[in-house]
Formats: sequence, C-alpha cells, structure tokens
Amino acid sequence: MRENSDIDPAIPLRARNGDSKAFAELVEFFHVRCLRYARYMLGDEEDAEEAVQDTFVRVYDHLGQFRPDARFEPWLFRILANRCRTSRERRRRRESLVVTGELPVVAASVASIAPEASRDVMEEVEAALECLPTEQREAFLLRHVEDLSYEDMAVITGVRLSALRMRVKRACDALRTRLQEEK
Amino acid sequence: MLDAHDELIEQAATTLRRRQRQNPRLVSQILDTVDGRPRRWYRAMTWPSAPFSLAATATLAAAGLLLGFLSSEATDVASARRAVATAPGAQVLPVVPAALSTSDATPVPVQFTLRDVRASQVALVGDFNGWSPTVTLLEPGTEPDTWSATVPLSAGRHVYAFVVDGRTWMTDPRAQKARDLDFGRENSVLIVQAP
Repeated sequence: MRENSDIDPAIPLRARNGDSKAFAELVEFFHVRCLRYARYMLGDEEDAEEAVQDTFVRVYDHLGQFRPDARFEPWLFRILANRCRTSRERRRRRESLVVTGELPVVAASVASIAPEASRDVMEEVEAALECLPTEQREAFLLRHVEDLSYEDMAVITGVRLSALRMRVKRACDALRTRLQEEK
Repeated sequence: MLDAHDELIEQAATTLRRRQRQNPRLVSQILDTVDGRPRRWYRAMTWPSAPFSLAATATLAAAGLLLGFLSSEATDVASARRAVATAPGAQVLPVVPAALSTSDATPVPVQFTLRDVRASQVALVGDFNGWSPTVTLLEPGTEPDTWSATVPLSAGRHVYAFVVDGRTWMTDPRAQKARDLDFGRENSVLIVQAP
C-alpha cells in the first residue's frame, strides 16, 4: 500500500531557486516520514529529531546540487540515511567510552524488548524490527514501510540491487520468524 | 528475486507505517535554523564584477598572499597553460584562487579563474553560495577563453566546483578532491586562512 508520497516536482525546484515558502512546504510534507524512518533506525525520539533537523538543514544548504531532472524523494532519503548512520556511529563511540565494564546500552535495549503478554501489536513489531541488523532494518524500512523502489534504494544506500533484495529477504525472514514466535 | 506477498510482513509494515506524528515544533526549529543562513546572506550581496587578470593572480600569489590552498601541486600557471594547449579533449585550466586583499574583520576576497575553450557560460558553485549555479557567474577574463569571479570567503574549509554551460559539473583538477557521501559527487577543496 503506497502512501501519498508524491510531491509536486515543481516545489523542490522552486526551493532550489530560493523560494523559502517552497522549502517550508518540503519540510511540512516530508518531516513525518523522515521522523518515522529516523525513529526506527535510531530507536530514540530525540536522536531521530536531531537527525531529521540536520537532514533538512543539509538539504537547504545543498539544494543547488539537486538536479532538476532528478526525483526529490530518493535524494532526501539518501541524506537522511547518511545522517542516521552518522548518528548511530556517534552514539556507538559515545557508549563505548561511557559504559566500559557495564552492559552496553544496545544490548540492554534488546534485552528489554523480550516478549511480554501485555505488549500491543505495535510494540511487538517494533521490537522485532529493532532486533534486525542495521543494514537489513534499513532495507526493510525503505522497501516495505517507505515503499520505495529498489532503484531508489540503490540511489539512497549506494548498494547494488541484488544485495538490497537479499537484505530485504533476510529481514523479512527474520521478522517473520520472530513475529511467529510471539504468537 | 521479487518480493513475495506475505501477509504477516504486510501487516507488520502497515503497523509500522502507523507512526505518523506531525511535529510542528521540529518544523519551526528547522525553518528557524535555515532562516538567515549564509545561502541567503550570500544571495543578498552584490559582488564586485571587475575581472582580475591571470598575471595579477599569479603575481599576488607569488607575493605571499596565497591562501592555504590544499593542492599537492605547485601553482605553476604557465605549465598548466602549456598542458592545456597540447591536451586533447576537454581543455580546462583552473587557476588557483588567490587572496587579493585581506582584512581583519571581513571575509577574504578570493579570485576563481577557469580556462575552458568550449564554455559559453561558467558558474562557480560551492558551500558559500548554496551551490546555486545562478548566483556566481564568472565573467570573461582578459586572457582568451578565461573566466573569473571574485568571491569574499570566510576563513575555513570550503568546497566548490564549476558548472560549465549550466550542465557540466567540473572539479578543479589541481585542487584536492572531496567526495560528498550524501550527494555522490566530487568537488574541490579550498582552505582559506584567517587574515
């Protein structure tokens, strides 16, 4: 099921030409999806907001590099995906400095999402998603949640189509197994 | 390998898509952050349009006003010219930007010069002008096939490129290259030292 993810192609071009209202329209239109993607990739609301803000500021600063014949959506998600990777890496480094000798935060978060009878469906699915390796989670979200084509995903991730298809398949297999276990 | 239809996976994806929270505070923060950024500041300015000759550039560079340009090559304009005269294909000679004057309080004017025998229009794009190919157009220089523009830049690292005839993105072959992961494109790097 594809969400209404299409935006009038004239809007990014107007923003590119310095129309600040058009840029505001872009932010209004895409920030919800960007926040959702970042939240699922980073597992933290605050980090997600920071990544999305950073993404749009970067978009603003580099709109001149946006090709008029290109689609805006993959261009935006490419920047967002990179911001999320950077944020994860920064957090990993921070945690490796802070939690020496203690249970790493990542491990703790996985432990905390163990099955519970009271958890609702959303929490179950999010918990299963969180257990996926980062690359598989990224591929699954882009393909099945953001409903992007493999060609767009290749632009976003810089990964070959065959590798992306394999990542999505593995992610689906892992999610299916975990969700069936929950039932 | 196509995605097989899988009801459980579709349900999971539908569940995940339900997270759709408008965040007006974040939108305001983003718009406040970009409001008044250098891109707009730059657009509002009018730059001096007087071209500077290659000789003037080279002389000033030799006089010690050369900025901290990250190039492993010497700024040998004459040898670069000879290379252009004999090289087949694209004939491009970017001249190392050089400081024309310095001031403690204001950005440093930097001259960018490009030689391209086929160009009918050359624009300078960079992090200092919002990467806009319409903001900084180079003007024909005094030397044949030479284009130049002078841009005040703040101290620090700047990334730039040339856009020829509105469609050909061109790095400076004599400058250090930087690949931007977000945009997948190579650019040139310039370090402007504080006056």
